Amino acid sequence: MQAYLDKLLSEGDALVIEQHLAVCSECACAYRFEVKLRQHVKACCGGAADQDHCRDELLAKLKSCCGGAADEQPSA
Amino acid sequence: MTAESSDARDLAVRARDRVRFEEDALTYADDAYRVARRLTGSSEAAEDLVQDAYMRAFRSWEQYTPGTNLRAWLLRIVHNLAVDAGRKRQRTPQMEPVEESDYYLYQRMGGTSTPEEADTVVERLSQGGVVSALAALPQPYRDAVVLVDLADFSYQDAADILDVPIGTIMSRLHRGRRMLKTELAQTIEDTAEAAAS
Repeated sequence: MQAYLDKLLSEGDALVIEQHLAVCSECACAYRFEVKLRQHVKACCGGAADQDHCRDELLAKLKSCCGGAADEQPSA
Repeated sequence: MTAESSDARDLAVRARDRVRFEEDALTYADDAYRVARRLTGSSEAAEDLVQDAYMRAFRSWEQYTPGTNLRAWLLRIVHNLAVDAGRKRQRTPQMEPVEESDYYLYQRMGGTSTPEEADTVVERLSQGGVVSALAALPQPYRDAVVLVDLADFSYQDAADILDVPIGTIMSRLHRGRRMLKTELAQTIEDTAEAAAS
């Protein structure tokens, strides 16, 4: 199931899995749980992807370190 | 050409290379922030981490080999700084959690009779419990889960960032996911015991 979810299977193998999930309710339930679990963990720990952008203030700070200015500042 | 004009030319070339390096590095600021936010769990800590990482990168720019993966080089700095900060905070050695099967958590949560039930079953895992469970994973496995499952990097990108073979990433990711599920199952048991007492 992990390989299927990670899209690591060949087209043929993935099709076999899909066909099985269509007829096996037990596996379909486990598969849905796995999908939802991954989404839930991501939501709990990752935060929204649309927040993955540096604020203008941060970018300005980074740019201020350019041109040798970083050499003159204390080490992190 | 005199020695002086040769030195001047070398300085000019070096300055040009540095500017180009810095411009290229800044194009990955959002990626750096994305990794930092997942590794630290906080926007504020992530900004500090990104700033520290860029300072280090700009100071050691000549250690970067032009033509190689600058993005991975930079994100590796972010990761290494986060690891260093984590080591300073950590007081006790991390024990490797028990690793159960892929279906362990599903079975411990009672399974579902219909696929749609999965939504409500999964929601029983509190955010605090999930965050704690992830934090309990040993660093190598947590990094793999964070980079691939949370920050959406490909296996290859994660391998480049962590400077390990892609097979190692896949192995750590697989085991990390199992450990995470084992930890989550434990948090559910702990919650149930606390409620019963």
